[in-house]
Amino acid sequence: MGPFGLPWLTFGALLVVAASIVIAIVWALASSDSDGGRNE
Amino acid sequence: MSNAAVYSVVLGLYLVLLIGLGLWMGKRTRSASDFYIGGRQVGPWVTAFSFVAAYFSSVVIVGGGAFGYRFGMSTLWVAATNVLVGCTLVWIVMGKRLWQFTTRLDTMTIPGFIGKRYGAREAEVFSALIIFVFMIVYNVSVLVGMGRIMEGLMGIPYTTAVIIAGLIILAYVSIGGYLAVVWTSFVQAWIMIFGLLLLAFATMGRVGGLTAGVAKLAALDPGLVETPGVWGWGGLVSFALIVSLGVWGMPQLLVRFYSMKNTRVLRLGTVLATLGGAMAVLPYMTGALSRLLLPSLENPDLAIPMLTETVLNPWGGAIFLAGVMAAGMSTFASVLIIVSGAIVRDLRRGGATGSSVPKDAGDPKREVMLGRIASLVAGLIALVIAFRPPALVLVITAFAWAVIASACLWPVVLGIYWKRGTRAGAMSSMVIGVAVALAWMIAGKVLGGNPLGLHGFIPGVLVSLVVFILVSLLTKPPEAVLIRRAWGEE
Repeated sequence: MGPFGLPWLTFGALLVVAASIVIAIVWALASSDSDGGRNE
Repeated sequence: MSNAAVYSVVLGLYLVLLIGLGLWMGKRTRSASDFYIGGRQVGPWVTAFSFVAAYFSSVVIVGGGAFGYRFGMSTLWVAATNVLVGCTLVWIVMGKRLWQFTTRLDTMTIPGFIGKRYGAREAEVFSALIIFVFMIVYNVSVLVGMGRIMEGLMGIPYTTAVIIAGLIILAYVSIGGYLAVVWTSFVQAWIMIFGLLLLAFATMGRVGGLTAGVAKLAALDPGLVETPGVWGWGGLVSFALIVSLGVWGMPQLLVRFYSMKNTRVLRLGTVLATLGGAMAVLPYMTGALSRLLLPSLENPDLAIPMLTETVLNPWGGAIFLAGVMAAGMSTFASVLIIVSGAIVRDLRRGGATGSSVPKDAGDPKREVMLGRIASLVAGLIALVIAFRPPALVLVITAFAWAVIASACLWPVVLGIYWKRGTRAGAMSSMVIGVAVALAWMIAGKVLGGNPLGLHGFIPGVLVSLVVFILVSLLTKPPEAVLIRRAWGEE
């Protein structure tokens, strides 16, 4: 059993939500670095 | 004060706020570009949260709760797919390119983009007609949902509820255009998030906390906490894909990308849209837990409205009702501006491809006036149908999302990534995609269940992808001038 008594496969959905937030932040930081803050 | 009176006070204040925003934005709307895409001047906070509000309609909140009630915690995977595919990835993959392409091609609508990218007036008209017909029908379902909720919680007649909700949206959209849509949607997103959090925490408090609630659900039926549990993989996966991948072809959501003031908006916007989208977890989880408090509901669609009355006091219930109304209104308004664009920019104007442009094209005041009239007419059509929706309209509603996505998804996605995509490929993909999605859903109605248990969206988008690639490879490559202009290589 995972956190909150949820089976791990069900709890995985919440992990995907958390991973999405991490992906968004990493992408935002990386794209800021890659274009040097340039704008279009 | 009675519950109905409290609901009326809170909702009345909220509706006055919306009208005020519409009037304020009306003063800033001076050209067609202002009316349809906010003059490409919208920043990250408003872009991101208006995207989320337009994405999650009242159908998702009330319907999501119903799915949670029926199928339990496995529905959290629908929310997870909404966040990853329908928010984060679509912003990363589509945002920058769609902004660049629509700016280079000087288009304000998805049919306009398709027309100019492929040099195909027929594809522009076809996609505009699909949007016109199916989005009006989609809006009927949103209005019906809002009318039923107001009727149930405020005790006012259904027809009166539909008129109040419909006319207020029509007023602020026709006056304030796209800017009114995104600013009201921005406010509405926060009301939705606050209302959903209120209901979720009140429900968890009532069942003794999330861990205790999950344990009680498991004791009731282990299938209510397992994945795929009582739903099964087929239903869970196809529903999650429909409501997440469909976003990639939905014009009322894609417009957020080309109304941004610049591509830097995407950085903060992607993070904010993902955080806002995470609220999708709440209706599914709350719906699942509601089974513990309302164990014998005959109609799961009543789970969220009845839960509101069970766990919230009248003021909390009124705020949640405002959140549900906000979800419906933001979706309705976003769709209205898209339908108006399809009528005025794509069907009437002689198209983005520029053939037979009317004499009045270029007169900003007249263009804004036409946009306002078109949005009023489109809204009134939906309003009148919503009074007594024929059974056929409700059946078509179930097809609307699948048909629009089947028509627009690949011509847009491949249009910004694949230079080899051709006019014939785009047109045949749209026609065959729509035909397959419709035929599949009609067969489902006739047979009493969708073939292979799949929603028409899945075969519709798969067939349209295959047809797009095959026909494009078998036909002459697009003219070099079209590609250079779209890719900015001139």
